[in-house]
Amino acid sequence: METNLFSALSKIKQVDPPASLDSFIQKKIQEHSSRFVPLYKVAVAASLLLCFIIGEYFYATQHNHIAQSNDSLDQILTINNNTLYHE
Amino acid sequence: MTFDKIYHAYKKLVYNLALQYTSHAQDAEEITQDVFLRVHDYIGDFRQEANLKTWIYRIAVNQSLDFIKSKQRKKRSIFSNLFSIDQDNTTFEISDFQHPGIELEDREALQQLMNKIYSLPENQKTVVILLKIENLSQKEVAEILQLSEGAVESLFQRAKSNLKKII
Repeated sequence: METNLFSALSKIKQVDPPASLDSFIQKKIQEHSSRFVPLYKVAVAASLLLCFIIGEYFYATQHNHIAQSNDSLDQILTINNNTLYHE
Repeated sequence: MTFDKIYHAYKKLVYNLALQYTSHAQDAEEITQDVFLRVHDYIGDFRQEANLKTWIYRIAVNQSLDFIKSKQRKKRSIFSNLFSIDQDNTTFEISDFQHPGIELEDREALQQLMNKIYSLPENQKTVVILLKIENLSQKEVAEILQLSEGAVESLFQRAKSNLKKII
């Protein structure tokens, strides 16, 4: 019974894949690879961004420090000296 | 072994296995492309102690089954969109049987038999294809499917009895 059931399957022959398959696969692999950004490029971009953020932080704090030193108390509060009027 | 060497050594095997699952030359080409894309991506992870042929067979089996499932899903959604019916009971049946490995005089009989094989559950279908079309041994099939030889034998017996019921 088994031989009857599956005997027809032995008539299926192995065939060679079409020649065009090689170029299709090559193209697909190239397309697939180009979709991914290499890790070293991501690392370079991330370090540049980090440098920029650190630089910006230092610049901002430094600038703020200079600004604070200029803000002495007499510049913020106006002190009226009215002593002349009483003399 | 470089990817080029692997590709040239196994392209015929993969293409023919995909043909046995789909009986359609264009679908088999598409599956073969996807299989080698996976091989290209994962060749670095491949453990040298494992058998390369078994590994490639495993990828090809999984890729073929995935392809069939996605094709069925697409068909089902088109049908349900058109007729608003649930197509849960649809089985994979080839409307355009284009198996280049089958002679014209055997086509009708084989198309009927293949359609019956395609209606089997995935694991039973795979066992029949690997044992009876690819002519692999039970041990090789067990390695590919990561099952015991006993499990392969039991799947084959179940496939046989299911086929007898349909035929």
